[in-house]
Amino acid sequence: MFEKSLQDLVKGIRAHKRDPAAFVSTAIAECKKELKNVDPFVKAQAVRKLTYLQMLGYDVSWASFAIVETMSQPRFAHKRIGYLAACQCFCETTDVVLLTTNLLKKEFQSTSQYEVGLAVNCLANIVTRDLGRDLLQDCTLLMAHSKPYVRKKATSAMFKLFVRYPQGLRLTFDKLKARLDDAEPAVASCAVNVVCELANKNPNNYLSMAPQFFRLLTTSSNNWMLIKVVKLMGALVPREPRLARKLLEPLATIVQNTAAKSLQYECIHTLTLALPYTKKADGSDSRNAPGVVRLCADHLRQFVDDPDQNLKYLGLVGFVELMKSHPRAVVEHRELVLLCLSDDDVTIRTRALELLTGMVTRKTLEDLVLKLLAHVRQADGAYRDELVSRIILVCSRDKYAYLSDFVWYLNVLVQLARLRGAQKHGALLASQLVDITMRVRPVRAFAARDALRLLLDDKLEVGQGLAAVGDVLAAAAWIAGEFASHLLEEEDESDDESDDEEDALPAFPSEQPRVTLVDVLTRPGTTRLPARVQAVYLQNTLKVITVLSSEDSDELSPALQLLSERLDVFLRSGHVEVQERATALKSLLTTLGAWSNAQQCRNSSAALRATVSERMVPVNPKAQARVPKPQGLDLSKPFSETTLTAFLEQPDPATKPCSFGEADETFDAGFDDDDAFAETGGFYDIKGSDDESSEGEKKKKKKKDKKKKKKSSSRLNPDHEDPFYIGGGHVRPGDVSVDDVPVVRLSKKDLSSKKDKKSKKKKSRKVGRADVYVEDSLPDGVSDDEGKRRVAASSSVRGRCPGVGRRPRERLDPPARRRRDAGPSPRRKKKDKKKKLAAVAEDADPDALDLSQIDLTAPLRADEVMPQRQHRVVEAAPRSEPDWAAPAKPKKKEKKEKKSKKSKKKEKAASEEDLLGFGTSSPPPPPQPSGDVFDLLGTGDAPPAQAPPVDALLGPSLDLSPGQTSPSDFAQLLAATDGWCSSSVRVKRTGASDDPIGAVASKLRASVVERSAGAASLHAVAGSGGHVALLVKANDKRLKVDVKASDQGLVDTVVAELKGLAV
Amino acid sequence: MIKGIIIVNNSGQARICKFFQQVHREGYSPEEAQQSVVQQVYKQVSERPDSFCNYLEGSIMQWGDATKLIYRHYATLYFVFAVDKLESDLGILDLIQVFVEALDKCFENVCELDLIFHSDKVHYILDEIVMAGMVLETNIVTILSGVNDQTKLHQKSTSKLNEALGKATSTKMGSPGVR
Repeated sequence: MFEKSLQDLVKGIRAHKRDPAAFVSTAIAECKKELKNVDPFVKAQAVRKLTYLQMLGYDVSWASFAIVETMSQPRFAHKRIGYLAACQCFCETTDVVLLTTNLLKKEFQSTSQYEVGLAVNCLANIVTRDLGRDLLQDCTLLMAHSKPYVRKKATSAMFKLFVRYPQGLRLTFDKLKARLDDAEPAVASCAVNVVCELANKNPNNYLSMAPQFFRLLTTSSNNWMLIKVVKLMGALVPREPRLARKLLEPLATIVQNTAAKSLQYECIHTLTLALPYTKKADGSDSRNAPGVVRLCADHLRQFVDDPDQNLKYLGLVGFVELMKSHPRAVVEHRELVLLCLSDDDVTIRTRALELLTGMVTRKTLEDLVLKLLAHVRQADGAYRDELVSRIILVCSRDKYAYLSDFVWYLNVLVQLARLRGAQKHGALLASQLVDITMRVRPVRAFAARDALRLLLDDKLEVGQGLAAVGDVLAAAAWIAGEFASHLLEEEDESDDESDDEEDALPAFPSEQPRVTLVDVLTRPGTTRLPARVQAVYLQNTLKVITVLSSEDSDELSPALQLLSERLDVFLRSGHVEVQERATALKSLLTTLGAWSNAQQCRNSSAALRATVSERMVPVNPKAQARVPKPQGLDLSKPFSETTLTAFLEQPDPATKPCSFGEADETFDAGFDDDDAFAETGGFYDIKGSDDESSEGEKKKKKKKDKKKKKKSSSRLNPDHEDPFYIGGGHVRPGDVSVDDVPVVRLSKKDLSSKKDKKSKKKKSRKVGRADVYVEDSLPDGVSDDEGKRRVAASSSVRGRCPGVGRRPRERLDPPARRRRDAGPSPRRKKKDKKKKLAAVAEDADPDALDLSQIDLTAPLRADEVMPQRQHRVVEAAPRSEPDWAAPAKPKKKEKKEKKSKKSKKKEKAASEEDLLGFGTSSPPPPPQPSGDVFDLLGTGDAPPAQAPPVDALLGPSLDLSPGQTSPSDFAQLLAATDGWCSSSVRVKRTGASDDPIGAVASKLRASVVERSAGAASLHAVAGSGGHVALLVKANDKRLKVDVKASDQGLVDTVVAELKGLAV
Repeated sequence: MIKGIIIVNNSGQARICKFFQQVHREGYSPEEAQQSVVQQVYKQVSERPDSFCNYLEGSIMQWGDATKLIYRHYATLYFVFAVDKLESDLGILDLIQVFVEALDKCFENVCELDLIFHSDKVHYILDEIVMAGMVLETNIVTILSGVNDQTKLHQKSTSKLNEALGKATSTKMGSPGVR
């Protein structure tokens, strides 16, 4: 009997540093043994050790029941150990939590404030929904306890109760409110703390209490409480602007007078939260607002200036908040913040960075970005990623509003792209590169040149991984390919003054740049790139060829030569997309006879152009909505039935099997008419005939369409007759002419978005005026400078083009639009929420209720009453019922499985609670025939395996636990105790069990001390402390059990129990 | 609210863990999830020299994005409080100071060994300061009187028990658990 104490355990673990696992597993085994000990001291020590082991990460959930037992011990020392163990080890899924309800209830009545305190603390830590509901009333009463120690604990615990049982908030909030005026400051402070937490969930509920808090703010001297009140005010101001104005003065006074930095900081923080709301309805700002702004800025500056890193950090955080409403006041301290960027501490740097990016103006942008770039080179890890994304953010913010020189920005992007190990932002950089090139026409030449140089840069992939640079390379390939014609343009300035020598981009190949481009796009090395990038490469190779074919360029034949030599690798590519592109490319050129034949290639230039170039213009996504629907047009009416039938009956060319050889013919059929191309200026409507275009597309193209002669649509678009082709409606050409569609002349005003206040045209220092194409730009059809504009699809960069000749009409998706479309407007949201609140109060599923949905402003309804804990009585079924496994309550079964599970658990818990004899307000139910109790567990869907099943098997009046297992101890016990009461009982064997002795032992939860073939001695300990000793003899026909127990009642119960046993 | 309190030593061994907001990790037991959080906390905190500020932002995913770690480094131990935005940054630093002072008073020149061998006692002291994530008491005198009273109560109840135990072993097993 020398149990290890906690100290021994710790020593042991420290002694076995090498391999503590073995030591710990023996220790756990010892604990298991000790938990079976009847001595509460030994048991408590075991629980104490297990609590420690739990902290080290060992699973002790198996000991939950022992923990509850320890909690119920009479001695304070044991209780304390038990309660601590419960706080540490119990979680939401611990089932025995249900057993603690009565235990805690009883403890709340204790005369010792510390015992009550233990129980309240434990409740706050382990509270579940059921526990919260059942103990809400008790805990509420404790808030008015005579001892402040209990009051403050109970008050704080209320929050956790509300979290689990939100309905309780409405029922008890008045009592909580009363604690705000508690005579004991600590209690009042706890109450403020709780309200502050609650207000964070739903501020609207507590607006009406603002005057009370305002009074606390001006009268209290408890800094801890003041901090919480100030925090609370910060949560309320956005909902009540008048409060914001009123707060300025008292908070400013505290800022000026208090010596406590923490309070001062919180006041400044709340002031910065309040400042955006101080504007009066007539637009004028509060009288003292400018003074307060100054005060805040000055104090924050002091914080940032402070040598204490913590204050420096907080000062920066405060500045970030202040900047939201008064950026000018912060910009003054720019230099100071810049200094923080060189701080060693990454937390401070990150905050300074956040602040700086908010300070950017057009004038300071370039300067700042250069400084940030310098930092990027030295930085590493997450901070480096943060820097890169910040640089991109400041430059691209508000549709590049702060950017004045796009060539410079392109340079920055290229530099970032070439940074080693910073390719987390590859996708972002790629999209920026493409975005700029597309939107800003004058930089295209620069962009194309830089893109080609990027592609040529073989150092790019060193140390970065191919997948990482893939995005950037794809973007570069797209830019170079798309704007290959710009590659010949003269660049008037010498290259990149900013690049230092060793890290410079490869020089631009001024000799035959496009051949170089084709070369770099088709190098065998590219096969190591991700498939999507290779696909983009191939597609852009085609574009380069196309461009060359239309020019009278001597680059064409070497380019074609290169292509024909290198394409084989791609034709055999393992990636379907790559192989498909290569095949398409080859087939196309072969079909046109242009495969390594420069002259023929030139001749088919128009056809080639048709496959890859297409005029697309940015259209405001809202433009369609502004086109009034023509009168008499019913979009929901189906098209003519006869037309459809006729269409379906046509012979179907697509059903013929088609090999590659035949495919060539098909191409021929499609493109033999060069005149048609000439007529349209090389423009083919990808969608084919007019009738397939949606109304919107017609709108966009109406000018061109008007010019265009109608052509045989079946020729232009072989797909059209393919029943598998999902085009628009199935109207045959000619049924509706584009000219028949009523056209409304759109004005600029109609099409430009309302938000389009700022001019989107930015000036470029180097290239003169640069037009930035933004999503709000006008469509070609209505703009007077339509010729200038050409925006192509951005998505092909990603290599997701569906196929040759058809490019997706994806438009740019600038952040602004996304933001607008992100969800309902705040105002609407608020309305929705209100509706929701009202609904919640009446008919919401109470289980799904969240604390933030509780509305305190509505009065209590009649059905909202404090939950009364009722004893859940198990319905008794007749004992003689043969099929005891049948459900006792058939109604229950009909309910959802989940629900029935839950209620079963509860009922089980209720019966178990009684087992523990903790005393309930209602009398325990009469002894139940065991079958009925078992019934609750054994009906199939709820496996009772996790709970200690033996407990549940017992009749409610019998509370036994295993006793001695050592024969000598048992003998000693029998000898030492006098006054045994005894009886004996005979049970007929029915053959229900092969092991009658085992059945008796498990039934009574007794331990087997000794056992021979037909007999055994058993020992069990009753919850009341009494002992039960049994001698069981069994033969084929019957079972004889001699029962000895320390009192007669116990003997009788055991005998009664045994009589009902089926063996 | 305070989401958790972790005391971890310079080599990453947890000395005290208190999780007021349970942590979860897919496919792991609660204990394993807790250990992983302790290790994350240790990793981040130990990387920072003492000259850095005592705040770490949004770094423990299991506790949610807005969780801030506020810590202090005393000799061989890091005292780390994980808090949300409702707690005052400087206030929590003061609270850690109060906690350590209370430990110092209770253990008389507290050192890591005290925390190792008396982790339960540390919990009892902590329970007087923070309850289920809510700051309960910040006055060191009140804290200490609560702790000391309960220690006395504790000892009294065990000494009685020892007497009873002595009797029980000589006469009968397991004294009946009557209060």
